[in-house]
Amino acid sequence: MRHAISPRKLVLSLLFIGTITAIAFTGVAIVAGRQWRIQPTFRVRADFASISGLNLGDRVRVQGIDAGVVDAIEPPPAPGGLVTLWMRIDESLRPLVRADAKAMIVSQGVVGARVVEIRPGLPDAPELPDSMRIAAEQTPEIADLMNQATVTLKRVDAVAVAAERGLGEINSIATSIREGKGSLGRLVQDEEAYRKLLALSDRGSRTLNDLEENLAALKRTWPLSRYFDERAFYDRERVLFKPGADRESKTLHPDALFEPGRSVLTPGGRALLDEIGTWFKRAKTGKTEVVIAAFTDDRRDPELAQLMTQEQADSVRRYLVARYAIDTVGWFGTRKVAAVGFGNQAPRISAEGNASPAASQGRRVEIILFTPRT
Amino acid sequence: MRQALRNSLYATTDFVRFSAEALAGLPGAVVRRPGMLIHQFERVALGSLALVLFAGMSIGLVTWLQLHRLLVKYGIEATLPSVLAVAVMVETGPVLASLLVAGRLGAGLAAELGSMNLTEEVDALELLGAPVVPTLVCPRVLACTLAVPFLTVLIDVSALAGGLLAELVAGTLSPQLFGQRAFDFVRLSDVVPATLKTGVFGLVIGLIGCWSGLRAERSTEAVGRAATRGVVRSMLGVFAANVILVPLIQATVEAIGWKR
Repeated sequence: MRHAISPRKLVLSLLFIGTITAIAFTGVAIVAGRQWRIQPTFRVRADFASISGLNLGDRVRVQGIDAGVVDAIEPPPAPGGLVTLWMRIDESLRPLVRADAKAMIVSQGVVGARVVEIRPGLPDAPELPDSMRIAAEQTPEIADLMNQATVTLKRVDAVAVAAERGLGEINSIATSIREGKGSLGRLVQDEEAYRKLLALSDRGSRTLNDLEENLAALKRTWPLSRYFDERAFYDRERVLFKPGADRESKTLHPDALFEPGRSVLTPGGRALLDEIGTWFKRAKTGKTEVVIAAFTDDRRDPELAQLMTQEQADSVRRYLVARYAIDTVGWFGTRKVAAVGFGNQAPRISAEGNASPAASQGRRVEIILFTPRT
Repeated sequence: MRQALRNSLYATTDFVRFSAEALAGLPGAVVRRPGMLIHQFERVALGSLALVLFAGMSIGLVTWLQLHRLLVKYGIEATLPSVLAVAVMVETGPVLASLLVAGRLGAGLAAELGSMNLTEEVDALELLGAPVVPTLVCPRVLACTLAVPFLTVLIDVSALAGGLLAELVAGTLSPQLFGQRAFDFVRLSDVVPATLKTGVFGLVIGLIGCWSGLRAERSTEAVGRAATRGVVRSMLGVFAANVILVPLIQATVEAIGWKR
């Protein structure tokens, strides 16, 4: 069963194959041409400390003109060496690339690919040497900039501390001068000098204010703000005062919760918190915010009392979050749960949540639910 | 249940044996039956020409429309040709071309061979001493294998043309810039294997189509069923082969260090 070759079909088929093969080869030639595979080229090398994630085939530009590709990347033979970058560049641009040309790695746009930019040398510079080596200029990377920013921020902090200390000293001097006592006060009779000193202290306090404002702004910036939110850092008093919300609270005695003088929960305390957990499940709504506030009446050391109550509030928060997931709403939402230790300081806001001062009620851990009334 | 399992196992071994026989006969088909081969090639390639051109054009236009809406949001609509070209050439083009051919020929081959079986032509050929696989199957399978890569190139080109058309009507880039941008991200190491792999798809389509037809029962209804089966199976075959081929190609390209 042989099939005779039909001339018409043969011609059509050959035409089809020929046309498409031609198209395909044109395409391949265009792509190869974009990689400088078919044009005459010359090779140049530059040694970089880091090539910033450059790949084989990345573009090379001469004065911004698309002029070639990265041909090879040779890692240094030993640590501390430089990475050698070989580039293939269009032959027609050879007169531009002189011995004093400089190569640098730059980003195209913010997230764009990286390209090698070559700055041609001076017109009277000699031709490229046989080593084909040109100078490499390292450009700063984003990570470096971030590091620098961190260092700068630390310095700002240090300046703030120093300024505060200096201001305190000036203030004490100024006070003694105003009261006319102390040897300096007697010596400074000159009104002018006194005014200058006052102005100086005034300016110092203004500078400090500015700094504090900047730092406060920083604290409210994501992602730092999350940390400060959790610790109720700046709203220590305000966390208790929410006029627009309904307030429900439970008060527990620290002795029932913690081992004496510590912030470790006892088994009895856990049971109490389990009760709180079930109560919370009943009382919550989607918008409820939780504040865990710890107080003490120990008047001996305010700082230690503050630390102690903060730790206690934190451990209650941890337990409730771990066991009852009180910091989540539904599957994906989060709820604000602030744990605040008030130390031995009596808050200005009463237990009922009104803005009237209340008498200190002594040692307690309060778990307060605020539900905004809509 | 057990019967169904046994049947599918039997069918699988039968298909493997059939494929091995057909593959062994492929080189012989070029030498001994060039007329048949050219006839079949013309049928596959030129017959699918209009369909492929139209599909490519449509894909180019639609991809342009969808991408343009997104890219304009970020003000980077000038990169559209580069994205379009890569999207079409690397995956959409090859798979689409193969699926179109599978749709046309999976049914066509199965129905043709099924009715040859029905009219006892196949038996007559066997009696005349012309075994069915080298005579009927091999030229068809070879024609499919050869034609699909060409159709893939065609679909790539027509998709780019469709994109260019849309750009000219609704966009801002000049044709020159479009052409230049189109090849920005194209790497030969992606496109050449992607185009050549469609040869395997063609092979799969041819084998499955012919096998489905030859194994049909002898009734008019069965021929229709065989045609449907031919389409479904050859499309599934294309998808399966793609899943197997893509990682294989990537590993090979990586291994030989072909990076551009």
